[in-house]
Amino acid sequence: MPDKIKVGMADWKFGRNNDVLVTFGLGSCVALALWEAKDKLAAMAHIMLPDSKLIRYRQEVSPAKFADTALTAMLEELQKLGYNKERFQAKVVGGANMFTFAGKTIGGNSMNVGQRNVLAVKEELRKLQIPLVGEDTGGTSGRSVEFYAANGILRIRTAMFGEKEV
Amino acid sequence: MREPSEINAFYQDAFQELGNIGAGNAATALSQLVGRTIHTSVPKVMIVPIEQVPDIVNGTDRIVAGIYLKIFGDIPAKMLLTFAHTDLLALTDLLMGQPVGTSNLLNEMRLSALKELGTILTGSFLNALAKFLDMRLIPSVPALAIDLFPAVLDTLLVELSEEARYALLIQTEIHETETKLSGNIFLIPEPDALDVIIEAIKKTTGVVDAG
Repeated sequence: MPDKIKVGMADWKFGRNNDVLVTFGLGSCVALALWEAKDKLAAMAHIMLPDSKLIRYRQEVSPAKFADTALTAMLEELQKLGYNKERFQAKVVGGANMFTFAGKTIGGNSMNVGQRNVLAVKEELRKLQIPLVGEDTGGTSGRSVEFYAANGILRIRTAMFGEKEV
Repeated sequence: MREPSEINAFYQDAFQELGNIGAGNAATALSQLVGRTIHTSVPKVMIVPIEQVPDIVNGTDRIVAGIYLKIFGDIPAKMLLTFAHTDLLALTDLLMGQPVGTSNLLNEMRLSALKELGTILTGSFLNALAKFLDMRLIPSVPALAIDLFPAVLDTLLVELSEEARYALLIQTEIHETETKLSGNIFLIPEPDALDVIIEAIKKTTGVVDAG
């Protein structure tokens, strides 16, 4: 049996070989998955918001909470374990828009937070030159994710539209 | 602005009472609508870091219908009603005055009946609060999502997490004994609303300073 490692909101975890990283019920949140093929190392963050500079409080928060800080924090930690960023490839899942009010998205912003999360994560990947090799983003359905360190595959489960892999 | 984590025991009790007053009135409205007695549980007041809310309300794999309304006016807040996906057909039978077990398809009319249920429950919940606190509360139109519970919750939490690190949730369960149908009402005041509510509670209860 593979070992399942739960990744909570605003958190990130990594595992190797038979480990499976899981995160439940991504709505507008985004899972950023990094995979290293040689040692079969997987790391996944459950990101809530696009921009750490827009929040209204100044307390200690996990860098994995924000798209603009998660990737750097993950790569720094992985670097300490001896993994250069050049060894990783990335996949991105989530960023749905769960609710619409009479045809409009919530919040008056022209883009919903799910879309903004996806864009912000991709922007960070581009800046740090990590190749994006798969994604399942947007739409109106929540997603639960299992990320297999053994082969880098993400299995995505939805409530109404079955399962898929990226 | 007050962080939810700074709210002391006295006001936690007061928030619980708000849940009682609101849910009691909502249950009465629903009773009249479906002609059955609807009970409410003792509300739970939870003040937790936003990231921990999914673990605490505990429903990782459940599929629910979530009806979400934003509350405007003197107390900006969010309200979420959840019903188990497996109860939806029976619930809409009740709402439409049919014997439970009549329908086997969640069609457009039944989805719209669910939203209407959201409007009725929220409306009566808010009316009771507005009267008690002497405040103006205006609900948005309801939005409906049938999906994994944490995904339904996550939109609300993400919005909150731009404002504060903690969330204050008042959760009340309503249920009908014969059909065993149940649902949950979550009232989640915006961080900006907490001081307003506390001031209103002080005025209503005559408490001068409870810290």
